[in-house]
Amino acid sequence: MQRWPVLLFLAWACFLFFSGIALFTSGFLLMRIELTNRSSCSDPLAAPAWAGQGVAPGACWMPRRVPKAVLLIIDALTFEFARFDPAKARPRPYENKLGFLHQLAGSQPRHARLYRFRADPPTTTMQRIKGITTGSLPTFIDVGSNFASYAIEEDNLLGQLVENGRRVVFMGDDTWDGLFPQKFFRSYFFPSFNVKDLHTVDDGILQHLYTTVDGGEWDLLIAHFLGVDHCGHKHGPDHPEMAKKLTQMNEMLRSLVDHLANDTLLLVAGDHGMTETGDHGGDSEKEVNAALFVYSKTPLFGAHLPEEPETIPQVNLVPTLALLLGVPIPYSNIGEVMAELFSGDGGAASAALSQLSAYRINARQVDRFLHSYSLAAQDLPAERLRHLRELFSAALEEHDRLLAQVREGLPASPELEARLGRLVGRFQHYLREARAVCMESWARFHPLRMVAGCALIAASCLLCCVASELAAALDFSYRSRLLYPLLWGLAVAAVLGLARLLTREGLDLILVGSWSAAASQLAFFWHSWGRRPRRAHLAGVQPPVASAGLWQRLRAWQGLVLPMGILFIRCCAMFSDSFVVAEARVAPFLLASLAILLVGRLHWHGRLAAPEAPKQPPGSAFSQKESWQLLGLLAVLLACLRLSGLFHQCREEIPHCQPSPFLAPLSSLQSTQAKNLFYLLCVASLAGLVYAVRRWLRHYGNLNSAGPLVLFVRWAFPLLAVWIACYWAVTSGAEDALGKLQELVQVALVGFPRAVYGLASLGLLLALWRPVTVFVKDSRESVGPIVTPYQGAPSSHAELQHVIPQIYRRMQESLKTQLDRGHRRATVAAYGLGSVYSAALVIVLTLLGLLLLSLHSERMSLAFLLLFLEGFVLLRLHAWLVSLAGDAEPFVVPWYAVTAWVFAATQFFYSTGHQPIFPAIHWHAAFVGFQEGHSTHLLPAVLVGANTFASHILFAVGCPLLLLWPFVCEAPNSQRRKLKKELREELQEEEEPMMEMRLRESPERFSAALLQLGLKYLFVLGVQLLACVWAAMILRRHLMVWKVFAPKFLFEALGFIVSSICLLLGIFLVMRVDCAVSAWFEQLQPSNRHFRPRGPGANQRRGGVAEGEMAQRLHPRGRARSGERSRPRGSKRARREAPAGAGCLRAWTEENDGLAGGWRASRSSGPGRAAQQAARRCRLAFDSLLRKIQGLPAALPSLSLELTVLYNSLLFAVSESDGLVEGEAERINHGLIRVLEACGVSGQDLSTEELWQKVLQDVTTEELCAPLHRLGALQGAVWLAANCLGSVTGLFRLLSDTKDPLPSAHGGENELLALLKAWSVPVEGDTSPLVVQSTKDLKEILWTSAAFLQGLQGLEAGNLPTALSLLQAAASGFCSKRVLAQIYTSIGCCTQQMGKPQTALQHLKRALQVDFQCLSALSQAALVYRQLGETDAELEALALLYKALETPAQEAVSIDPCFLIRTELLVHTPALASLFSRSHPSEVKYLLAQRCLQAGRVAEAVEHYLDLLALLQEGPQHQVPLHGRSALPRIPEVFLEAASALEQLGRYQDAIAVCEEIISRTDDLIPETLRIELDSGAGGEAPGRAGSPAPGIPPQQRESLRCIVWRAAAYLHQGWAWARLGESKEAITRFTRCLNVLLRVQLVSAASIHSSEEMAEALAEAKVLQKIRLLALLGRGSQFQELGRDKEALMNFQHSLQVCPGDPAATSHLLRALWKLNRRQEAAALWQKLHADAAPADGQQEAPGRPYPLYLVSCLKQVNLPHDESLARSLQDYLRTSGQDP
Amino acid sequence: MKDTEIKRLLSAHIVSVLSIILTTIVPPLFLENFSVLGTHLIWLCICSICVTTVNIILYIILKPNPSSKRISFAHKVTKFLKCCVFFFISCILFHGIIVLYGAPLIESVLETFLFAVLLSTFTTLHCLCMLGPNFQAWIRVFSKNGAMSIWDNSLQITTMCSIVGAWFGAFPIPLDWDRPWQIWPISCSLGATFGYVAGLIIAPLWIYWNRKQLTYKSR
Repeated sequence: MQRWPVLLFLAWACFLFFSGIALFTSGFLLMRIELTNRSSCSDPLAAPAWAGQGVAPGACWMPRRVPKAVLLIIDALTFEFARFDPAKARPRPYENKLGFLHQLAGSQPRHARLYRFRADPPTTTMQRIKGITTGSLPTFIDVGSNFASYAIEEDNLLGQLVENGRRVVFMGDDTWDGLFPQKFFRSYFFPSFNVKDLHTVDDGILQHLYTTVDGGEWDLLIAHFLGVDHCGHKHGPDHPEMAKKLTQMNEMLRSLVDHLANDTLLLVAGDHGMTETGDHGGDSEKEVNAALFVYSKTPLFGAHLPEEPETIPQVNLVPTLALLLGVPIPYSNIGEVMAELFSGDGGAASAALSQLSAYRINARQVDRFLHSYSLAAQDLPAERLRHLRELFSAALEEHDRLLAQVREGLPASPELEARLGRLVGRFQHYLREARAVCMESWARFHPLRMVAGCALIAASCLLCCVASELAAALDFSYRSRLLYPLLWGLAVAAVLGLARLLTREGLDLILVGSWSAAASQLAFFWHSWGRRPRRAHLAGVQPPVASAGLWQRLRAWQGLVLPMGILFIRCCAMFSDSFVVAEARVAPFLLASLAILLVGRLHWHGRLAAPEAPKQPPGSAFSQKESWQLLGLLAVLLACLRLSGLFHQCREEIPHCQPSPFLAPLSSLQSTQAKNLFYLLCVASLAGLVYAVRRWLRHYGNLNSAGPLVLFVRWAFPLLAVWIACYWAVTSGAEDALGKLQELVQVALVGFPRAVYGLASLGLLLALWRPVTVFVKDSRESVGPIVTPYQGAPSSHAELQHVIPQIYRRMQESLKTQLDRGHRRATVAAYGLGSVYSAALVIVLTLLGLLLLSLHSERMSLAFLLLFLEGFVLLRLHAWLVSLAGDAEPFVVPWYAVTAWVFAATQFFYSTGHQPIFPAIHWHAAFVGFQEGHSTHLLPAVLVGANTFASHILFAVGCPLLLLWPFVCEAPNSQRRKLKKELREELQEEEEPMMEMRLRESPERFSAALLQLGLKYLFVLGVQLLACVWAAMILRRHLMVWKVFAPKFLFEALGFIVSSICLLLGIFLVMRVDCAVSAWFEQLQPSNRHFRPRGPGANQRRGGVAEGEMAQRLHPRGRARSGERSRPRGSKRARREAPAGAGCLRAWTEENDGLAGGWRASRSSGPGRAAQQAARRCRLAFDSLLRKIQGLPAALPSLSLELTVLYNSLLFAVSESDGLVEGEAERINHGLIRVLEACGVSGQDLSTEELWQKVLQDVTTEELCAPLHRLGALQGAVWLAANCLGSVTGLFRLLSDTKDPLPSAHGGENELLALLKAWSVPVEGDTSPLVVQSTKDLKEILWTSAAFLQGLQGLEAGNLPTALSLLQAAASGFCSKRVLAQIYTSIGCCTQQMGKPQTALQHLKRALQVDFQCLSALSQAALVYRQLGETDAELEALALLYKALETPAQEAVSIDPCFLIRTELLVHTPALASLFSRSHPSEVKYLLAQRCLQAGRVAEAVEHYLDLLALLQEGPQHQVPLHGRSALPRIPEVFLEAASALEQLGRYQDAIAVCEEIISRTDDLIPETLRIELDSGAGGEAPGRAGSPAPGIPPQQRESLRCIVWRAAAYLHQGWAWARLGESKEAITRFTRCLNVLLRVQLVSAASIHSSEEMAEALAEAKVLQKIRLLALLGRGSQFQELGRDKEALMNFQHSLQVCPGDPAATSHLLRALWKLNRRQEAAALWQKLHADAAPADGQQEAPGRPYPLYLVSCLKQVNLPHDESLARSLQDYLRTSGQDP
Repeated sequence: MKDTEIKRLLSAHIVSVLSIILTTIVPPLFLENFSVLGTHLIWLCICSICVTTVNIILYIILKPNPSSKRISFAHKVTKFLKCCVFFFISCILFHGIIVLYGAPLIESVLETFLFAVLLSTFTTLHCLCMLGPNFQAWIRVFSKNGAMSIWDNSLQITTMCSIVGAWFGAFPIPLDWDRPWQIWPISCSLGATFGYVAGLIIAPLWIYWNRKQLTYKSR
């Protein structure tokens, strides 16, 4: 099998997707541009000084108001934590814990204040630190780099402080170290990453805090506490631990305030909030709602106290702190100063003025930033910038004016205060607007890249779809579909890279990758398009069913509608934020719908058995029990889907959503009882999972071998489960409960998970190294010393006791093998071979499952159990659906299965507690086994990724199971088949289930199937990804884009990447198993060679079933391969050993005997594939043996053996090739020449007959006689098969002559038969080599065949009596039942032709008795009955025949194993073929219908016609190929006949409907005019075309003519039907149309048109045409008469008479019309003429057998007027009178 | 196939459609504060009862599948009881399927059950009327070539349409439009009702357009 191309193709497809994703991402998730400008003191931003305000020395921009500040950051300090509500009676654990803040704010309102501190999303710590220090808005993409801290490049507060010579001391979270390397005067960092660790950071800070504060060597002290955040992550806010932590913080604050100096400002801030589960990262209200507390021992604030704490954005801290500390505001700050802190002492006016100066600086800084930014990037809208500019300059002017006023010394007045207040408002407005503008536009997109990425992904999807369709075709060439595209891609990449290098630009990997991806895609499509199969031109399809082609194609797509429709709905759901939010419920909903619809469709197509209705067509449908099982599976699937919803995580968009309680770790449970209960439940589910997998493996026999992998499964699986359970036990225990054992617990916490990782990785490696889990039971005779030497003391007695039992056992064994010889050879039984692929996959999946499960919280193990259960149920359902589809390609995994699998993966993404949002990521997974944190970022990323995409991984790796499972589940089906078979044939033995070994039968298709499966999976994933990408692109300005669509896209893209890689791994694993299995087969072979004398072909066959487990026998292919492979070696050895002579001969003889014996033994195993394959194998073995023998020069001693082997091998060859052998004759020749050579006679250049003559005359060696005779018999068989009767006779004459002169042929009896009878078969001695079919049998068969053949030839030649006697002789011969039935049928034919129908019937009856499947006997019987005129019996026979044909043919093409040469093989004559050709059911149906109609049984005829039409409508399989012999006429004629029958029955409406059908179908097929030149008969009329060989009209014209005839006839029928309904007008319309149609034909003939004789010769249709015209005219005329328009009627009648002069019906109509119009004279003339013509006309009418088509008969009947007595009388009266008159 | 048969079918279906329309129009005349959305449960009950009665009456009048046998009274009673049991079982089954599809298990049990009753009314009751409590006949009718008369065909179409309507009715539930009809099970039951009405209208039309093919099929 082609392994690497498949993997490479898939990897290439993945790469295409990846490059698309990368391109899109680079356009979609852009970062804000960071400016490198820095502010400095010298910037002229400061306001002009106003009265009483001098710039203090050392200050810059603004005087330094606060010399020192302490910034305490308590991570995740939500506002709820900081608020104190004394009214609350029963506070929750996190409420009312920071009482000290409340106390300060209450007692000193001018010193302390609490704010709501609004964090900007994303609320991850690093982004928040960035925001708090730079005053800017970090963008979305930064979220991903949370693990890695990167130094902040932008201008920031710390940088400014350091630059201005301040000392910054830091303690706490080590994230700051990465962000601000080398910035701190002193620092105490503590590891932050381990979220489980509540105390390290806090305790560390507390250790240093007070001493540092007291030391005073700092200007800004930052302390970052992490305990609260970690407590939230670990336990959630609502937990006693949180209360403890907050109380600790409270105490810390209390003592810190004691240590503070009077001039120090204290800021306590939370960097973000937390959700109810203690997570953060998103932008929900709870996450952004942090707290800020400001305190100073000197009064800061005015007297005014706000009712409710004010809300301020987080960035406002930066300018405030900068100006307070007297350093420049960082350059890119967009925050707004907190004005209250700048009011200072004094009156309202001075406070406002100082606030204004702060605002002014702030505004100018922001304006400067916006200006520089708009120069650097164009993403801020220019219009709004202009607007901002206006706001800014207006406010600045106003400020200048005011300052001027103040400087002038105007007294403070309320008016001034009001103006000041307004100005403050304007500055505030400007600053807030500016911030809003920035927030809005800092997501800048590259539309071109986005569109290109989208297109690339879409094209990749298309490629997957196209390639998966193409892969099914066998001519899939990797060269054009993979190699060329790859080369193209590489070429483009190289060119681009070179160009980049030459132009010295940076190499943009994404661009290069996507260009090369696009190029390779183009190349693929180019090659595929060029090689697409030319559509066969559908010429010559029968016109009325021309639409069948389209319909059929539509039907082929029908299967796709369901999965693709559901997939489409799912993709549409990606475009709605509500549906993305609700996806956790959408995916199971759609999956359930898909499953129910699939089962429903099965029922709709009648594949599910109804209860209490076992009468289903066999083979296609389920038994009742299985139907219920299927429904049960469906129910289990639905239950799984519903139950998996229990494990959901919440998104904040869904109100009132409670996250599943199972998500929380066990340690968070308060109640011990519940904890224990859940723990037991988890362990039980773990054990259940392991047990189920082991049970499955045991069931399929994959748990028996002693291989390392099986040992691993046996021992390591339980061990893994135990370790995981232990780990859970340790983690779920309360932390302080095990006080003393703390250290041990720490070790266990690390040790158990690491042990699990290690063991699982070991298992995975084992699975790759030795994936074969097959147990071989070798019951072949073991070789070795008979007696193992005794080891003990050499005491004779003991030794005897040791040896004797051994000898006895040996004897027993050898006796047994000898007894078994002949039918039961030594065997190799391989258990579990049939599920070897799936077993490896299942083991790997379980390992992965256990690994991933240990990364989740304990109770998720239930979800994993459900996952495995659901996967199993899906596979099982799929296998059943596939087995029900029956005829479907087993190597093609249908779309629905792939779609369902992908949906299940999506569903379990949600059901393992994930959501595509960042707060829902289970970060704690990174610490399973790594309590102390990580040194690198790769490992935690892998762990968290594995946790997040657990279901993607499992389902993608398990994807190949979709292909394998139907094969694994094959066994029960074949058993069922077997049961049915047993009813028919009792002698049959169990057919061995091949299961997955069927895949190895055709490795090409196996690899193609894997490729196709992978591509389909990629397609379904890719389409979903495409929908996501599309949604993100189209909705990029949507309100929810950052909240819903962008995270969804990121998760989907990551999921796709993970899935595709795991898919590759899964397929790689399957290929690895395949490699290993091949190696295993080869390994098995050498041991076989050791036993060569026993015959390699015969062994390995049978084996016992061990311990009630399913035995999987060695696959035949393995044997065939090993046989082929060993051949060269064997022949080499034979040559080498040739000098050994006699030994060699003996070895060959034994080999021959072994092969023949093996065949004889195996042929009892019954017909079928197995026997066929056994035969092929034997033939190969005999051929190779023969080649070996013939490798040596011919020698007399070996000739006997050689001839026997030749005989054996030819027997197989003849039987295999159905008797028609060309090359085999050559081999006989060759053999004979060798015989002559051995005798020293030259035999070259002789024909076969001469050779035989020479051989039989010259070779007189006694021992060669028997083999030669045998060979002669075979030669006879070959000649017989080739119909060379003369040669056969000659040969047997020779053969008989050599023995003893035969008395010449008896009188009357056939010579050949006599010869055959007299030929005495050579005796087969005991010593002679074995033959596979005895000559005696062959002789009998030859005799019978000869008789049968000659009889048939006689029948053909019309030599009936001889034929009869020969056939009767054949009937007494030796043949199978089938042939006997054929012989009887032939006798029947013969006697019928001899005019003895009764005897014929007797024989036919006998034929049926012998073999009831001999259907031709039935049809012959029908013919005989027809001849006899017994319509009833004939119809019955036909009906029986139809019934027999309708039930599917039960006989498989089977080789009767007993005889290789059979009568069937030898008899080939055209007579036989025509006699026994299988008629088609629709033909028989038609015959039935036609006979009924002809016999006048109209009602039955109608039934049959309707059945037939229904049959024809049902599908193309009922359409009969148009060959000359077919009884079925063209379909429109059937329709017409049906219409005619309906009309006769009186169902006129239906008849009209049927005719309408014809008319509508022939619409397009009728030419405007059809000009037909009847020049063939005229001769010499058309000189130009004189040379044209074919007389008559061209077929195309003939076809058109036929169409016209049909259409006209349809109108005619309609007309008559309407007429019978009494609707004369309608009828007239129809008749007119009929005539119009007929007028399209122009018959141009040199001869007179009326010379109908000639015309009929050339053109049968033309006659029909005339008749239809006549009938239509007559019909129209009569209808006119009905309406009373006699003149028109008369015209019509006259016309009709012109068309067919002398037609009696027309004449009589005309007569009547004339009479009615009182034109008596003419009438009388006509009457006389009619009478004159009457007699000859009658004769003419009768003469042709069937002049007109059947469908016209009814019309003809209607036209014929009843003989009108009164008219006749009155006419005669008139004649009489007129005769007197003139 | 006779056109009169189609006409009978059409008239029966029109009566059914009218009855459903009446269930929305008439009750406000008698009940205070009645509206389909506001007091949805009441409407569900009314609609189920109304459709049930109309269907039974139509069945008695039209007799789509007349059986030649004369049936004894006791037999009739057992048949009726069987029908009731079937109906109840189908309600339970529908309830189970709806819950498996994702409806809440414990909350709003009454809503779910009434919705199941409505669905049963649209589907099972129809089957019971047409085919009687004969499960085999049901299975036959709902397979590809199982329809023997236009009544069977109309049964197929209306049943499918109702179920498909209910299925589509689930789609608006997750949307964040905050409309009153997004509350469980209003959108689904409305979807089922619209589907049923559509089926009632489509069935005669479909049969009319395809009467030719049906001629061949119903032998």
